[in-house]
Amino acid sequence: MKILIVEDEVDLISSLVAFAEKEKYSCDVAKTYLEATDKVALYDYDCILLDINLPDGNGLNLLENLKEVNKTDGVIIISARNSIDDKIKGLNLGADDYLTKPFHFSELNARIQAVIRRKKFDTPHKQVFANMEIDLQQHSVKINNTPVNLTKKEFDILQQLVANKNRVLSRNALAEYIWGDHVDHVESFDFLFVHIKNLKKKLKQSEASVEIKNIYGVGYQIVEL
Amino acid sequence: MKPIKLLTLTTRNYLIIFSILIFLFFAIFYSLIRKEVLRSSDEILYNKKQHGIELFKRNGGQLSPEIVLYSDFSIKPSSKHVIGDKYSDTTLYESVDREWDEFRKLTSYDLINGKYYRIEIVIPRLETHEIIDSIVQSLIIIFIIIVIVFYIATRYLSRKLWHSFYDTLEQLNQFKVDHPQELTLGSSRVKEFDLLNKSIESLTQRTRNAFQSQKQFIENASHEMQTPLAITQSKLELLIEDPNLTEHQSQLIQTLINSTDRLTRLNKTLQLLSKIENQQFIEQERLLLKPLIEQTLTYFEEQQENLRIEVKLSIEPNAAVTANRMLVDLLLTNLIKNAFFHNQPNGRILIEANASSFTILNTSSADVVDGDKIFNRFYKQSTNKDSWGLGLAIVKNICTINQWTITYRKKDDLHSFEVIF
Repeated sequence: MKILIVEDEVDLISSLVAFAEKEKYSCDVAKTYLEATDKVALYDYDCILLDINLPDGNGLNLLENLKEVNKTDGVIIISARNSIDDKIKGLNLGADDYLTKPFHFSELNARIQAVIRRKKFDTPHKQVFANMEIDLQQHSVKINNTPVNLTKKEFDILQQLVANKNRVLSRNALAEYIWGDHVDHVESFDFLFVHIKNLKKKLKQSEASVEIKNIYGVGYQIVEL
Repeated sequence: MKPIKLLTLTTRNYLIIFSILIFLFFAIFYSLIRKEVLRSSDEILYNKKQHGIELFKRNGGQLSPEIVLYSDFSIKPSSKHVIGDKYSDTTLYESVDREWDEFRKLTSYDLINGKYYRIEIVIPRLETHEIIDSIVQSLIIIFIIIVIVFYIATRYLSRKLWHSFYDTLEQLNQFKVDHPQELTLGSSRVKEFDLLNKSIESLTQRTRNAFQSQKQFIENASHEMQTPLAITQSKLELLIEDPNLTEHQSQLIQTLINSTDRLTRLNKTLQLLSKIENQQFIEQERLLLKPLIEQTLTYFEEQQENLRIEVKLSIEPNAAVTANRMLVDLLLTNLIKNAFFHNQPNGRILIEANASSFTILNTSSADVVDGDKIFNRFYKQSTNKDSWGLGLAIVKNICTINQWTITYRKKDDLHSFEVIF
């Protein structure tokens, strides 16, 4: 799994590199438009994280170049310009996704995994973790091949935890994933707590060999027992 | 006081002035005519007297048959030893038409052939009421003609003269500070109106510029905030994964994450407002309200359960609007969210929707809400630090660009928001 980070902010690059290492992606960095053009010409990447605003050119031009050589697969635009025009233009030029700064790593990770799933036809919409199998299309979970009855929100939480199994998922990121931007965070933390409590109970009853760990009250992480 | 149309006011004032003038004119005219009539009757009387005396003298102190012809002429010896003429008004009964007619009478004392005589002559004269009648008649006719001509002329002229003024008014009424088209009023042939148009144009231009730069500022500021926020957020997320953190440290980080999150959401909301105002949500589609509302309600299941709120829906199954999906979604989410967050334990929420309107009613612990300010940015009643007071501003904006109207009302214990499509 090889990704290219096209971004000019040094501080953000270091965060993204740390993130990629944790997810065990090998990554390359391009800080300028020229550097990026060179790199995409020389190597093949599974995924390109592309910032549109580069000091020496527009990231959309790079996308146009990629389109000419049919390499737009797996491009995720990361932009501070939260403009619909750019989004439509980018997606029309063949980008897979569009993410607005700032974003949670879990969100970025979910998008990258979606890109990979799209690219690899042999792993059809299923995530396997320990003795759990999560079907992303059917929205169903099986533990030891026995279906488990989860509510939609419990399913979303479990799926997001599994997708981000290598890291601590902050409560904010999780709450935002479940309820969107619209929900009062203080309140939703309590609700999140209730959902996670129920989810833990159901997992235990179904004898799942996983545990949802609470990390200092800051976030959650799913681990294999 | 209800304002009156300028044209009506001018016309009314002119009519009052006209009436006063006509009355004055009548008074002057009447006194002049009357004076002239009397003067000419007196002259005739005087001439008759002279003529009578002449005949009397010539006849040697006897009344000549010629004098007798003047039936209204009488000459008698007088005991008063004075000489002089006296003109006066008198009325005599006329048996033919049985009315008192007005006459002018000359009473004269004169010395003829050494004897004193008293002479009386009367002649009929133009009667006062006849004079008044004829003047009034002619004046009324003149007055009516003047009023009609004046009315038509002012209507016509004013319409022509004030045309550009009303044009300006009309355009000003439709002027919107956030509209991409600037206000052009053109020039007028009337100097004052031309000046007015120019002043208004420059004023609106300045307002537009101020509005644009304010909008630009919000947009730029929120764009510029995005990258630093992204850096802060990503670093904090990396930090909480550090296994060497103490519990105290991670609590500090949680506080930082929460603040960053709030900033991020404020940033996103401000950008959203800008985008709605810039009309960047163009694509429209026909949207059924029922599934959208039901979907939105699932986000608030927890609040509903927690506060034991009774939610009642009365939605026509094929109620639909044609608009941008994202905007309608935002509108519903914000209104529904509002109804939940300002609700009270064991409260109620009623949602009604049909083809022409959407209404949401909720109980609330808050009793007084300022209906004028409620849609303003950053206006909030609650002390909740997680609320920005932007939700209803977004709702208002969405309604404005879709040309829907939204009204807030409070009836009994229910607060209601009604959107008319």
